[in-house]
Amino acid sequence: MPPLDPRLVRRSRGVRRLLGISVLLGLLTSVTIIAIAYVVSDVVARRFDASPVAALPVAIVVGLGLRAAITWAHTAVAARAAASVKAELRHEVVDDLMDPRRLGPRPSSAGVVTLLGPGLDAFDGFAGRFLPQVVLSALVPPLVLVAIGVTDVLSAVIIGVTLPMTVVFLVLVGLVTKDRIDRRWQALERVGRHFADVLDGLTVLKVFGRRQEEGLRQVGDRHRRESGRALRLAFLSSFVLDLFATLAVALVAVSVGLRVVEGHLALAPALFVLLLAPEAFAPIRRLGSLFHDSTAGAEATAGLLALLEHDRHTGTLPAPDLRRADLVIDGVVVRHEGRSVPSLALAHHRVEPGEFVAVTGSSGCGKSTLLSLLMAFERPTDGCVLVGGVDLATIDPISWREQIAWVPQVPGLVEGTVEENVRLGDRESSRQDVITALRDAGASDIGADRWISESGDDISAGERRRIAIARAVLRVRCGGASLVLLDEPTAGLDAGRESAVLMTLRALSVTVIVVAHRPETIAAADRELSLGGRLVEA
Amino acid sequence: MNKLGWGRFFGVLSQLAAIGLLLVSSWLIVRAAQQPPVLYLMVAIVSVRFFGLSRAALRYVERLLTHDAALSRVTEARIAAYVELDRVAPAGIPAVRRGDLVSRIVSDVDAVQDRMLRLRSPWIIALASSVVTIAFVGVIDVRSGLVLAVSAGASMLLVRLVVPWSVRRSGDRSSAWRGELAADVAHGVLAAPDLIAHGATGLVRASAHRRVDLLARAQRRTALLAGVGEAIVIASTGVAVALCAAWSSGLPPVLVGVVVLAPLALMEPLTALADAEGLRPGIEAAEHRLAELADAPTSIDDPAAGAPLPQSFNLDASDLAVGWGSTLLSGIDLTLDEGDVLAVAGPSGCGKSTLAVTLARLIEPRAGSIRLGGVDTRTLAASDVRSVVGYLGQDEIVFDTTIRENLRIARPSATDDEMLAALSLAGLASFARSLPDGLDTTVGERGSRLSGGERQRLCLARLVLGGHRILVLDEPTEHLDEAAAESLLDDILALAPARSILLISHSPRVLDRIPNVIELGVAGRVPHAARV
Repeated sequence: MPPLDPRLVRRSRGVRRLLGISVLLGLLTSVTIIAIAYVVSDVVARRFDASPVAALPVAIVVGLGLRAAITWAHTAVAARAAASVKAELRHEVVDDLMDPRRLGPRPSSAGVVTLLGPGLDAFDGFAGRFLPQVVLSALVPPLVLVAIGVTDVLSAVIIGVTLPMTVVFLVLVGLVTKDRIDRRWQALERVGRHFADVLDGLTVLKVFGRRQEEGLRQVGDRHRRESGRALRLAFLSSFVLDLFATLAVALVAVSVGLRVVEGHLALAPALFVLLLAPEAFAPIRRLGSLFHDSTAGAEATAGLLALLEHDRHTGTLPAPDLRRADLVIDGVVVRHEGRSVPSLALAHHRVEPGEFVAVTGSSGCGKSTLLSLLMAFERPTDGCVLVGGVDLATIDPISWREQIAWVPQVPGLVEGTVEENVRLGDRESSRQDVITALRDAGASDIGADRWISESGDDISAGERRRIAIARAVLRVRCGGASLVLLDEPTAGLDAGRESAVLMTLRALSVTVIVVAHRPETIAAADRELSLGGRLVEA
Repeated sequence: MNKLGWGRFFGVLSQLAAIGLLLVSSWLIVRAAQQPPVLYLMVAIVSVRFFGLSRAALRYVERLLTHDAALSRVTEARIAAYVELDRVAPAGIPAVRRGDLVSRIVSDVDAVQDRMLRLRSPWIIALASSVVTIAFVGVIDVRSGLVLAVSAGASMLLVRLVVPWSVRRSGDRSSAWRGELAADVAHGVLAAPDLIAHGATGLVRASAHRRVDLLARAQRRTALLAGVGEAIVIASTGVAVALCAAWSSGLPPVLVGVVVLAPLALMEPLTALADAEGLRPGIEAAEHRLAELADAPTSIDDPAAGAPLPQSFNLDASDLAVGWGSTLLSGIDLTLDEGDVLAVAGPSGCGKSTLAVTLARLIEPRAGSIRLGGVDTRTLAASDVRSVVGYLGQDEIVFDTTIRENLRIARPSATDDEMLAALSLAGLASFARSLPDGLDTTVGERGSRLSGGERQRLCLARLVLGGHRILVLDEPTEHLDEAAAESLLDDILALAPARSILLISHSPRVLDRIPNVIELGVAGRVPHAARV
């Protein structure tokens, strides 16, 4: 995996700016490192010659103080940049989720929360530590090498050979051990999953009186024994780094030492080279220790881009009036990525204005997909939906949805009163309209002033559904919607409420397409559109 | 010494090798400048080469040994967390947060490993290598030794105080905004299709954007706190190098290099401390959460010695009150004679499920009593009660393994024939036989490779195999379509009269099939149950 996803650099201004500042601070860091090595070696050489060191100790304090300040600034700038990059990406995700032209299946809310919270926090490590270190690793070693080369060519050759060799060996070790190490991570994940499974199934284990201490110990011990060999490989890359870095320093030390004895090299440049030699390797060694930050960042980037990269609805034509236009589903096939069977396949079907159609079929046959197609949340892979002869894909989705009242399986609610939530259906309607809609949706027991919290924990699935039905009723009566799409609206309702809801829907006298399981709902419809049996995996 | 101790010992040696490499090299070069015969330098040259080679090897050994030790300790920590959670569950664990809690405990347990490897080991290595280096420099020159001791000590102290503080402070500053953003987004994602459908995304979008900005502002404000640890170490090293350099005039020339470079050599282990201390707040928070688990009250007060289990398995409860923490439902009277079928009905949230777990002796009753064969269940060992009263919860867990292993949880010694017999009673035999791998078919995470009905039937088969005489089933047909629910109900009812069945449901279709129904309170918090 490349250390830096080019798509992220293109996308994020924050990342580009951070890279720019990092280069500048990296240059400064290199200069200070070289200057400090120079002054320190000069001090020792002067003491050797018994000449005065004058203000050199002050220069050392200033130099290292400067290096401390630059390091601090670099980390702080990177941390600020990380915060900005995260904000940038979060803004983008929020906009994307609320984009009316977004097409395709929606991510789970738990998934998005994780990605936006802990997932994006991986950028703290990635942008805050890993990226600056990448820049330092690219800048410091060459500049240090130049400084050494100017002073002593032979030392520069030693380091100039070992440094690339380190990288080559790292790559080789990485290639050879990758499979084993990946397998080890998988094994580690399995141990974690087993533990999670045990905790998850505590009640079951209690019911059957099965204690798990022994099982956990066995799984843990087995993993420990098995990972012994994998660890030996996993630590090889840091071994290679350490070995080459220290070996190069030792080689340089002995080589300059022997030339100093023979008088070919003065003391000060010899010490200067000795002090600089480890600095040529230090940034790369540190980069190696930030491996985790890099993989976590790459994972977060991949997850984020997977979320953001999807098709958009491009239609712009005004929507035909649904009171008159018929709805034709023509040879529609919807395929979802990663599934061998289409999620929906429907040859030809026509819905007249004012019809009440029940969509039936066992679970997994594409009933909900059909509704999301009609809502223009998805686009057919093949075929098309025609509205009064116009392809839905060419119609502006916003004006299209203005004519639709929609009740999904798990309707979304906003923080606020029940009244406000019902009024989403039509913002101009009066309180009396809202209360009537609630009554007709079998929800007269839900007070219009009841507060719904942000999490919606305080409301049951049935109440949620009835509020959404009231919203749809209001949208038809006051908002002028002429197509109602409902996904199992009466699930979980008792018989009395169910018949009240069905009566209300019939009385709306607009087109109704309802996904239904219950015989009562199917009986209330003009006709049944059966999507056939479960599409078995081929 | 155990593996961990040896590992850290090698870690210290490795660090000393790195320090030795720099100091001996500098001695070698300065001594060489005096141009002695090369023979005089041989020991130094060999040492330099030795240090150069041994540093990496020692560190490699250190990592192998300490990781091995850490893996065993993590296993122990997992077992300890399991024991605590087993004691607390299910009363201490709200069902809605179970998934969260589990994933948090799983990652919290890893903090044990982080403390050992990434916090304590760097400290031991830094302390030991500093002491050795300071002593060595002190022998050469007391004043430089003192300078080094003060600067290393100051670095350690400041890093220990400042770095965790700064991490906590940044975390505190942003955690409130972070929580609000998470709530906003979770809610935005959930409601987004509805908001888009109604052209009403404006408000939620604006509020999410505002929270993103506030969070970013809070994080930018604390950005200056990052990297403070490394800066402290570098700055104090600078002071030490300068002082050693300024005060080195009286020293023999060959030793000046050693004294001046010693603080630079200590920079590496001290900087490692700055990284380590950055992890401390996270590790401590995880340990704190695990410790809290140990303080949580026990779910069931088990008698020291349980009374012998009665032969009969009549179950009856009188004036029973149930609830988690507070009473949810009281005044429940019910009788379930051997082989009977009884349904418990009532609106959602009235406490039906709580009654089920109370009857299965997973949580304590709030008041009143439950008798098994006429014996108060509180005098029996909870595990004995549970061997008679089997419980199948809503969304019951099946484990991510084979059908066989899932069944063996009920009875580890069960033969294939016994398993197939249990599957057949649960209406799953022909399904199991139709699978190419039969009993060895894996069911996927949380049974994802099974349909809802198949999953419930597998759980039912598990109960049958467990030999429970009383089955408490909580909404077994929920989430199933009409036909599947009917056929599962048929199979459940066929399990009586060999077993008594208590079925919890709110579905009229289920209740219509069962003559004995107890209707629990309809409204209000502490309703009275009435025998119908």
